[in-house]
Amino acid sequence: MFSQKQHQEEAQQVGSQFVRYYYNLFDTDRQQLQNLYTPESLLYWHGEVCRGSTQISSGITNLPFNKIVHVITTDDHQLTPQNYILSMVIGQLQMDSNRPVNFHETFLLKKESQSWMLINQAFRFTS
Amino acid sequence: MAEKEIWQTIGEGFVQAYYQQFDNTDRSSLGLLYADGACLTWEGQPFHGRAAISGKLGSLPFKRIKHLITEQDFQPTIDSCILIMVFGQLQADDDPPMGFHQVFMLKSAPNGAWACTNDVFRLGIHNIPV
Repeated sequence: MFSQKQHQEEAQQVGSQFVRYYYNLFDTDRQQLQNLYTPESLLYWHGEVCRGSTQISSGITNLPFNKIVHVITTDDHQLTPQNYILSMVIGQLQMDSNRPVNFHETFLLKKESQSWMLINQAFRFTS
Repeated sequence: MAEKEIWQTIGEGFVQAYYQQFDNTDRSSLGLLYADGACLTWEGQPFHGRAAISGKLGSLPFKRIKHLITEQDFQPTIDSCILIMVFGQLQADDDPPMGFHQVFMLKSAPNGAWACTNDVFRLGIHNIPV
């Protein structure tokens, strides 16, 4: 029987791997992100609401830049009572050759079959 | 006029109560806003359970604190919890104001009361200035 501490450490590990995978995919081939969302996934992009993998993926793919680079400054992860993983990321991103901007993003991950899926997500620029 | 969704109303109520208590009381009752097995990550340090969380929040090293919320987002989750993301500024004592980032997860108890099960807090000092 795992202690709460062990579960939280596992969540930290899984969450940490996931966000790095997410931003790497976003930066190299963001169309592929569609596979991480479900039909019920909810994404707020600076207050704008997108629901479901199709709408979310379309929104992300059509963002108005060619090149993007995300850099994670801090990332924190916790297990929720329902065994989802809650992640809060603070970082910086650069679109094309614009100046870097600060961002703040929250993810909620749920395990479906053997994969972690994004069921809630909220993104905001903070600078 | 668009009606506010229920999760937004509950979320706003929680956020207001949380920062009101944080800023205007000795924070000794803040623990009551959390569920029994709640988790807090404060600047990367984990705290488990209401007692540990209360202890941390009650022992923060400032006399005065003021939070100002710039942005807040509320989302319902598929298991009927509420996810809250807050960004704002805070000022402790006479220190210069700093940005802060905070995420809360709220869950309702059988009696209908909402409590915080997850809380993640970071100061906005870690990013390289842009």
